[in-house]
This record gives sequence, structure tokens and C-alpha cells, in this order.
Amino acid sequence: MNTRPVRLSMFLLVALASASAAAPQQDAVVAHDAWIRVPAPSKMDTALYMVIENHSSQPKAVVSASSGAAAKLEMHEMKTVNKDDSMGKSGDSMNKPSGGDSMAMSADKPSQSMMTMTPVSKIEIPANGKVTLAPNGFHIMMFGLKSRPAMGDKINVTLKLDDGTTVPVVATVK
Amino acid sequence: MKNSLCFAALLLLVLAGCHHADLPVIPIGGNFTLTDFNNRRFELSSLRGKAVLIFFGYTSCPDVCPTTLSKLSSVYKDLGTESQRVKTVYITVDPGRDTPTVLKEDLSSFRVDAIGLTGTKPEIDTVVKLYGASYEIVPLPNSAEKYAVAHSTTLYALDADGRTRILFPYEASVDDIVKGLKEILETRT
Repeated sequence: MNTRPVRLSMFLLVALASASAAAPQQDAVVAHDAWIRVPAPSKMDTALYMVIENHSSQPKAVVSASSGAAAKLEMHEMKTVNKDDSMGKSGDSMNKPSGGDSMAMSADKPSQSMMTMTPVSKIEIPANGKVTLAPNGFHIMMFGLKSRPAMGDKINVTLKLDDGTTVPVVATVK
Repeated sequence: MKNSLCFAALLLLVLAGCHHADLPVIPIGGNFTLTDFNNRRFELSSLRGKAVLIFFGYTSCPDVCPTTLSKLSSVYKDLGTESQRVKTVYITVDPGRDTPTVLKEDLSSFRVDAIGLTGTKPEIDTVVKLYGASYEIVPLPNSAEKYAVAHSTTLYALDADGRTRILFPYEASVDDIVKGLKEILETRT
């Protein structure tokens, strides 16, 4: 049995895999204009915002974030919910509360929407597109800051993508 | 539906920049008593003679409340000397975490002439209802935050007699708020 074609195929497969691994995939997704809000005086938590661009032809998603500057980072989304629409429809965390924690509008008062914050498991970045983390939308919460950041400080953050790659981010405190 | 249309109509009036003589008196709000960030009882009527901006929030709020306070910092700056005739009233909807000390400390980081108010839950609920606002405790068992507070974001602008004249939506710009406040300050009661 002639095994040469099989060996050649194996060689090509390995070579392709190696070339793929060596490709600069980190550059496929980049983050810029990252900034952190100066935390309130009584708090050691703050919000992180940025623009994330995906230069690849495949959709990507940020699945987690980490930083040596804080104990825990979480991805959150601010959403507007209309009280009239029943908040229970917005997600598991928005189930109708018990114990009278809800203040419903009086029937003779004008309708006013509410802003709420919901943790999210990923932030999607469309292929050849971008996502902007900004007030009133997505943000990354930094909980348990290890020191109080001052205006102009730079803080390193790492984003982890769903393809296993990471994206370094330098955020400026504003 | 009728209430939503009413609210939308009021917002349109504001955004259309109606003349101050036409500023409607909006039938919500009124006097109330809470505890201020100096741990003293505070009555809204003590601010008679000033235009008053009221909003409901909480100091652990990551996004909406600091954004609103930053916006109001710009409003005060743009108003110049007229800003001395404007007082901001920040009412917490998270009295469990927002003690008077916390309110005072956190409000001090914004260049806004603001007074922070808290109270018992029934006291706060009474004021929330008075202004047609709303809030809801949202448990976050998997988050370091433990719970968030969903809340309405309307900014209430009162005239020197404590009557509600303009409801600014969260999206209102600094210019919108400055313009509205100037109309209120020009209004003779």
C-alpha cells in the first residue's frame, strides 16, 4: 500500500494548522478610546467604557474581562423598560419583586420609563463591525478596585473573546 | 396609553421651546419632608424662591445617576450667576445603602448645588408616588453588586413656588435643561 499521499496530506494539514496558529489573530479585534469613570468617593467600584472593533469576517464576542486593578469585572447592559410593559418580561433578574419593593405609578400620573442594569454573559461584535460601550448601553463594571484611581491614571484590562483570544486594553480614568 | 400620550405631549412642549408664559403647571409633585445629608429633617418648601431640580437615584448607580449629575454640573456652569437661584434635590431610592454620610460624600464630587435626601422606605415611597416616579429592587444573585435599583430617570423642574413646570427626559441635553430653567426663572408667579 502506498502511504505517500496520506503522509503528504498529513504534512499539509499540520502545516496549515501551524500557519493558522501563527497568524496575528490578536489584531482581528482591537479596543480603543477606553475610559473609566472616577469612582464616587464612597465607592471602590466604577464603570469602564470603550469601542471594540472586529476587523475579521467572523462575528466575535467578549465573554469576560479581567484586570489586576480590580477584584472582579462584570459585563452589564443598561436598558430602558416601560413600567407599563411589566418588568417581568425583561429577563430572569427582572421578575416581579416580592415584599412590596415595587412602586407602581398612580393611574393619574404620566407614564415614565425606568432604566435598569442587567448583567450579560457576552457582548457581541459583528463581523467587520464594532460595538461601543458607552453610558446608557453596555459597560463593564469593575468591582473592588485595589486602589483609588485618579484622573488621568491608566489602567490595564484584558478582554477574553469567545474564540479564546485576548484583547489588551488601556483605559484612562476620566 | 392616555397617560403615555399626556407625558409625550408634555415633553414635546419642552422640546419645542415654548414661551415661558405658556409653561404649564404639571399636576404632579408637591411638598414633602425627608432627611437631608446632614441628618436633619428637610422640607421641600424651604426652597421656595428658587428653581428646583428633583431626581430619584442611588449612589451605587453605575451609569444613569453619575451621567445625570455630570450633566447637571455643566448646566450649573452654563447658567453662570443664575445658578445661584437653582437647587438640585437628589432623592435616594436605596436608603439601605445610601446613608446621609454616603450621600454627602458622593454628591460632593460633583459641581452641583445639590442636597441629598433619604428617609424610611415608606417616606421615600410617598414622595416617589407624589411625583409619579417609580423604582424597583432588582436582585442580582450572581453579581458582586447583590442588587440594582431600576428607577425612573425623569428630572423634575419646579418653579419658585414649588410647582412642577417641566419634566425633562433622561435624553434632555444640557442646553435643553439650561433653556428650560431660564424660562422658569423668568416666570413671575
